[in-house]
Amino acid sequence: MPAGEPFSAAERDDIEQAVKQAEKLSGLIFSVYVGNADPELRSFAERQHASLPEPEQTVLVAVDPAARSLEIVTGEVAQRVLSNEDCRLAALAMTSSFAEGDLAGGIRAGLLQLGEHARRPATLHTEDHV
Amino acid sequence: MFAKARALFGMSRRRTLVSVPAALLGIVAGPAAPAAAGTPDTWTKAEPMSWLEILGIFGGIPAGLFVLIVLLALAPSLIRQGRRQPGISWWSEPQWFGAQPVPVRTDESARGSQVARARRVGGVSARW
Repeated sequence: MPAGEPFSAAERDDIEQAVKQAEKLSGLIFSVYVGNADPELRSFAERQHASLPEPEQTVLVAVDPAARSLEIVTGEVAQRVLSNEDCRLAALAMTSSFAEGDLAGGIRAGLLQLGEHARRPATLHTEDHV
Repeated sequence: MFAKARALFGMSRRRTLVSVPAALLGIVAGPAAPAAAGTPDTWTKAEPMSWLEILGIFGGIPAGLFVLIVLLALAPSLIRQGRRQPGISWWSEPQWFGAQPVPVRTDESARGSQVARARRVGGVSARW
């Protein structure tokens, strides 16, 4: 990878694919931010989440590698299918990979796990009776 | 019964008293006596090992194996550290994947609605 680039092209592709996969599984919108946050990641992530196109349905994963901190912010609609406990489990998986130095792998694993947890089971035999 | 046995083996009582302890002493002390036989003359006489050789074999080889095993165990994490060092610095521009923020309006009503929305968000914080 070129000097100064945090992710290789393959890693970027992996993360993009994971975002798409999570969105497909859950029907939610996913957004990932990797970079410095000032002054504190939680408030920064909430501000960024509020300025996303559809914040209610969006899950924002914010990672500050320099501060070694991670935030998952869920919108009002997203919370209905993705509990804070689900987010905690995904965060645990992500931070385990981050601690080993695998930033892209951790983000990818966390996104897929969030998508799996938010997966809504297909509703069968309801349209005929409506 | 004993008289009958003595008569059978032809031993008087006095001789029995002397010979039994002597036999026991031979059983106990016999193996402890120094071996009379040396190494066969046909064996080649090896030179005694020097201290340096002894130290090399019994100290150097185990120490070398110890270092080798430690290096093999640490190798994967050393390779990963070379690839990225999390927590030390972030040397790049912020990266976005998926949905990205739209430019924020600065008027008061927009700010008020954002704060209201921010109050209803969920999620978790984590560190590593």
